Amino acid sequence: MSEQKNLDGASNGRLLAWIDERFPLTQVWNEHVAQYYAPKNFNFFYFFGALALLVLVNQLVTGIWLTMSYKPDAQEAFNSVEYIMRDVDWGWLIRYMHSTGASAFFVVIYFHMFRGIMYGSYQKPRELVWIIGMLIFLVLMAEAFMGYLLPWGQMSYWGAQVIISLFGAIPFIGEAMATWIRGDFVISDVTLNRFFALHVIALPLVLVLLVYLHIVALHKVGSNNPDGIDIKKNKNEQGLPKDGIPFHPYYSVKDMFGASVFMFLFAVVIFFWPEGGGFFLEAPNFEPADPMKTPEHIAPVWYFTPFYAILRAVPDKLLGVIAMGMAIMFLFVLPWLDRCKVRSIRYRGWQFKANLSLFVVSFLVLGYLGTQAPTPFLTLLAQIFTFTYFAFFVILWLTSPMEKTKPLPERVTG
Amino acid sequence: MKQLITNLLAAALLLSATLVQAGGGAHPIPLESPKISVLDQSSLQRGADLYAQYCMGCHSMKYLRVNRAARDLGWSDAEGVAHFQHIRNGQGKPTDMIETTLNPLTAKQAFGKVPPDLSLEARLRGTDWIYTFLRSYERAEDGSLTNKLFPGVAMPHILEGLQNSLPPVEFDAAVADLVNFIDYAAEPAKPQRLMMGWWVLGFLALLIVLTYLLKKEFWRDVK
Amino acid sequence: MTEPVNQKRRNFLVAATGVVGAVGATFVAVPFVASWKPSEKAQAAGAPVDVDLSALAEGQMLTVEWRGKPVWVVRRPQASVDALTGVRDKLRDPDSAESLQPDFAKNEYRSLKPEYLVMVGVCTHLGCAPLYKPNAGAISADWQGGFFCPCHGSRFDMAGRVYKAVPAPTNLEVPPYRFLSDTMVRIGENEQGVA
Repeated sequence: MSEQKNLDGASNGRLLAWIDERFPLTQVWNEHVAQYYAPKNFNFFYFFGALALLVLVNQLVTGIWLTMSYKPDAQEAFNSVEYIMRDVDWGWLIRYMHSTGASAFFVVIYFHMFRGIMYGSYQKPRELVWIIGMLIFLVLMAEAFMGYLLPWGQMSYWGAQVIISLFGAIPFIGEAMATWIRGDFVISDVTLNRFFALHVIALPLVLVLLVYLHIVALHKVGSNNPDGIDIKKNKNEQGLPKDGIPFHPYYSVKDMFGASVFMFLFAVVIFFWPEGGGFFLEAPNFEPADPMKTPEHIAPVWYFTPFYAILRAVPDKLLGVIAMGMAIMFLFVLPWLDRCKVRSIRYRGWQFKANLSLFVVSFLVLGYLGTQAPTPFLTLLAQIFTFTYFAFFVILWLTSPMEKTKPLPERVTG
Repeated sequence: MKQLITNLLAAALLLSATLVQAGGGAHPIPLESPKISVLDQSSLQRGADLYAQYCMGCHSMKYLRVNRAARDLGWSDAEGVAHFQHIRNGQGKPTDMIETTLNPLTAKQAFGKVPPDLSLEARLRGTDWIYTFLRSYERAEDGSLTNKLFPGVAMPHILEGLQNSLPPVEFDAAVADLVNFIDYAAEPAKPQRLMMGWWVLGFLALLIVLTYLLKKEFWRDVK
Repeated sequence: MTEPVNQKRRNFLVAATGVVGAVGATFVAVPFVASWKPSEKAQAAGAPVDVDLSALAEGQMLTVEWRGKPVWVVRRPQASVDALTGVRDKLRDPDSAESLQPDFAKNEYRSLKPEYLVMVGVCTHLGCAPLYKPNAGAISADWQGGFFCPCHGSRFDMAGRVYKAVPAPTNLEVPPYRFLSDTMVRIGENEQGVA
C-alpha cells in the first residue's frame, strides 16, 4: 500500500518519474489496479479469479523446481519422482504443492465458471472475456493431461493410452493421428519426452498469454457483479461509477483475505491429506508404468470425469468422442445461446433457476459416474444425465427469450 | 439463489456419501485398520526389526536408504546397518539401499514370481490392506494354507511362527508395528510433514485474522 | 454519520499484515532455496572412500574418485620428504596459512604421515588436473620433483605447496582422511567423523 502513496499525486519519486518517461508504469498501475473501478457488491464467488491467478503462480514456480530434479525418460521418470519425494531437500513439499495445485486449479476454475454462468458474466459485452476464459480452460485440460503422464505410474500410462486412443475414433485418419501423437505404436519414451516439452514450456506460455488477454479484455469492459447491472450507467460528478470502488486497496485487501483462507485449506490438504482420498494422487500411480498390465479399473483424474462419463455413456466410439467434444464446445457459445436480457440469476425467471440447478446436478453426477467402473445401471444413469447436461443448453436457448424476469434495481444491492 | 445453493449442497453431500461407500467394496473380506502412527518412533523401530527379520529375505525397499531410515528411526548409521544386517550379506554400508540378496531368478523358480518391492506398497495397497492381508492366513486341517483376503497368493505365511508363539493381541500389535514401518518407508517425509503441518496452519490462521481485520478496516470507507 | 477513519489503526494493520506476509514469504522461499543443496543421493554418492595402500610402491601415485574429484595418494620416498625444507624460500605459502587442509595437515609435509601424501588433484588456479612429475629436472633444470599444471604452468612441490610467480594462488587442497590401518586409508572422514 505504500506504493499508492508514491504513485499518487506530486510526491512521485524521481526514479518513478524517470521510469514513467520511458515506460507507462504509473499509468498501467492506475488503469488496472489503483483506479480500476470494480462493483462494490462482489460476493464469495468473486474470490476465484484472483485465486486462479495465485494457483497459476504456484504451479509455475513449483513446476520449474520439479523440472530441476525430474527426468523425462521412461527408464528414469518414476525413479526421479521418488528421488524428489525422498532425496531432494523439501522435494516432497514442492511435489505435493504441484500435485495438489493441479486439483486446486480445477476446483477454483469450476467455481469461477459457475459464477460466470450464474450471473450472466458472458453476456454482451463480455463475450470475448468468456471465450478467452474457455480457451484457458481448454489449455488447462491439455496441460493437466500431459502433466499426468510425467510420473510414469500405471495410471499415468493407461490414462494417456485411453485418451490418445480417442483420436483413433476419427474416421480414416484417426489411427494414423493417434500414432503420430504418440510418436510410437504405444505410449513410450518418445511420448513422454514430447509431453514433457509441451507441459513445461509450450502450454504454460500459451496459458500465461491467455490469462493476460483475459484480464485485458475484462478491464476493457469492466467487471460484472451479482446483480448483473451496469455500474457505469450511474456516475457521480467526477465521472466515477457510484457503485464502483478502486480495486486497490479495497479488493486487494479482500483478495488477500480470500487467499489466506484458500492457502489454509490448501495447506490442510498438502500436510494432512495429500492423496485426497485417492482423487488427488491415485494409488495405482505408485506402481511404475507397465505396458503389459492394465490396472483393474482406470479412471481419469476427478476433474475430467464428467466429460469421461459422457464419453462412455454414448455406445458408439466416434459419437462418444464427438459428444465429449460438444460438451465443451457448447460452453463456448453460451453468450449466444442465452438470449435473456437480464444477466443475473437473482432477477431471472424460474426456468433459468431450474435449468441451471439441473445442469449443476448433471455435472456433479457425471463427475461421480466417471470415477466408477461401468455397470448397466450406472451407464443408464450416465446416459440420462448426459441428456440433461445437453438439455441445459437447448432449454436455455428456447426459454431465455420468454423468461419472466424481475425488474432490475437502479443501483447494486447488498 | 439461496435455494439453488441449498440444492447444490444437498447434491454434493449425497455424492460424497456414495463416494465413501464406494471406497469400501471390492475386497473378499472387509479391511481392518491398525492403530498406527509414523510419529511413534519405537513402533517404527520394532517394525523395522520385524521387516529385517521376516520380510527382507525376499522383499527389497529399493527407494529407502539405510542412513535415512536410521536417522528417522533414531538410530546411528552403524546401528542402522546392524538392524538391517542382511544387506549385502552383512557387508552393507550406511548409504546402501535396503535391498534383498535374493536372486530374482531363484525367486521366480521358488514362488513363480519375483517378490515385489515394498518401498511404495503402503501407498499402492493402503496400510489397512497390508494389515488385513498379513493377518488373514489360515491353515486348514489338511495342512493347506489359504489367505482370505488374497486367495492364491504366492507368498507363504512367513509370520506363522510368530503368530503361533504370541497371544493374538500381541501378534496383532506386532503386525501393526510392521505395517507402520512399511507406511513410513512409503513416504519417509511423512513424520516431518505431519509435524510441520500444524505450524503452517497456525501461521496461516494468524494471517487470516490479520487480513480479515485489514479488510474490515478498509471497507469502512465503502458505503 | 460517517465515522472518521482511524488512520493509526489502519497503518498498524497494514504494517502488521506486511510483516507477517513477509515472514510467510520467507518461509515459502526456504524449501525452494534448500532444495538446491546436495540431495541425499548426492551425499550418499559422496560418501567416504576406502583405499588400500598395500600395493603402492615407493614413489608411486594412485588416483581415486571422491565426490566426483580426483584424489591422489602418493607414497613419498624419505628423500623427497627431506627435500621439502630446502624449497621453502621459493614457495608462496610454505606454512599453508592461506590454503585449505584439515588441521592435521597444516605442516611441512602436509599430511598425517610424512610417507603418504593425500591430496585433491585439482589445480587451485582454474581447476585443471596437474601432472605428477616426481623426477628432478623433469620440467626445467631447477625442477626438484612435484606437480605441474599443464594448463597455465602452475608448479607445486612434493607436498602440493605452490611456488611463487605462478598463476595458482594457494597450495593444493588436502581432503579429510584417516588411517583405518597401516595400509588402509579412508578419504572423506576425519577422526571426528564425516567431513
